[in-house]
Amino acid sequence: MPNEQLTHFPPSSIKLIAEKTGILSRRVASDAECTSDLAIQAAHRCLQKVNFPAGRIQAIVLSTSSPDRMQPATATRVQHKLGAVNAFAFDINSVCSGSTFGICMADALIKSGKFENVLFIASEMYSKILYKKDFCTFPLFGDGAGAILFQAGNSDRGVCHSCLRTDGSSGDAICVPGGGTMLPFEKMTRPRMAYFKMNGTAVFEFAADKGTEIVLQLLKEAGAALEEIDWFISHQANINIIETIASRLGVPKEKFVVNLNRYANTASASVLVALDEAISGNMIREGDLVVTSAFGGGLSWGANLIRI
Amino acid sequence: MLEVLATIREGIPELFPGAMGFEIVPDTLLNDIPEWDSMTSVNFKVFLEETFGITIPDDLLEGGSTIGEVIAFIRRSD
Repeated sequence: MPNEQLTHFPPSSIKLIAEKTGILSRRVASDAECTSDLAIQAAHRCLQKVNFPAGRIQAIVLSTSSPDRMQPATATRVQHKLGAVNAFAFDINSVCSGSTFGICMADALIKSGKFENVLFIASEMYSKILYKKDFCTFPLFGDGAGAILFQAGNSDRGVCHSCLRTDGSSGDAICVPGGGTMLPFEKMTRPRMAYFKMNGTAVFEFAADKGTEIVLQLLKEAGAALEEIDWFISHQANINIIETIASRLGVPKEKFVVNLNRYANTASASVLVALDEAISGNMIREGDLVVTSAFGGGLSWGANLIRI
Repeated sequence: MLEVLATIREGIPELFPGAMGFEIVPDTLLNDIPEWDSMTSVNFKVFLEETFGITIPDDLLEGGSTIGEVIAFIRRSD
């Protein structure tokens, strides 16, 4: 759905979307679909690529901040529909940072030695948790999903290191205020309280600061240099945030994978969608060293160093 | 005037969550409302247009205007 189709906003405001964020378009799921439907599609494609039968999956980790329902875990419907009968499945919710947290969790399950494989999926359907008249959020997000199959092995490919952080003191900056135990439905005084909200100005500063800091911390802990990194995939929220991070790191912005102009912010799915596109398009190749990083509600932020 | 001001005061905290507790008076500059920027100003425009059934010119909401000037425009459009 291109910006021009957001006709419920004043026509004079539409140009602001591209100016402020770089977003030109987004994907919007149909009324009949829910988050697990996108997750299932992404998982199917992932398993097909490596010809891996669903019945062999041992664990499914699903990152989502827009779940099918408050409970049960969205991952359980994904497990059922995939036919992953030998897997256990659970959700994690680190909002837009969920990609980096999930990559770390899936990698840790493998490195624990208890599991031979873990399917990590990030799936989001923000079109259904956004207040349609909120110009500060609705045009900025899109629906999407991505998946990665982690397998135990002796090669040097995979996650080299992860670095995760949270700061709960600013939890209100990005949140869905109502519908949980803090503000149950019967206590909500306005329908808008059931929808996602975000303090854009504060979040921009946080994202630029922490999005830079976490990459430097990751590389320091891993003993790697910026110059060794072939590609950077930052959370696809806003082109101005990505360019600020690139500038502060002193890295050419051409080394940052960008597709937010076409998909907008797909929350925790954004890094996986960008990674898949970059690999499918031969931009990122086997053996490349990639830094993935993300930031979002919680507040939370994280990064992974990955050998493709 | 007071009725329009009361309606705006009621709407502001939801449009600008950071403005919770911020006192809105006729002399308040739009630029001084916490979280006011070009994006949030669109939400304010939509709120005013839907609430009062009028069209608000973009230049009135460029930030240098006061709440009092917005109220005067709404009353003239009545």
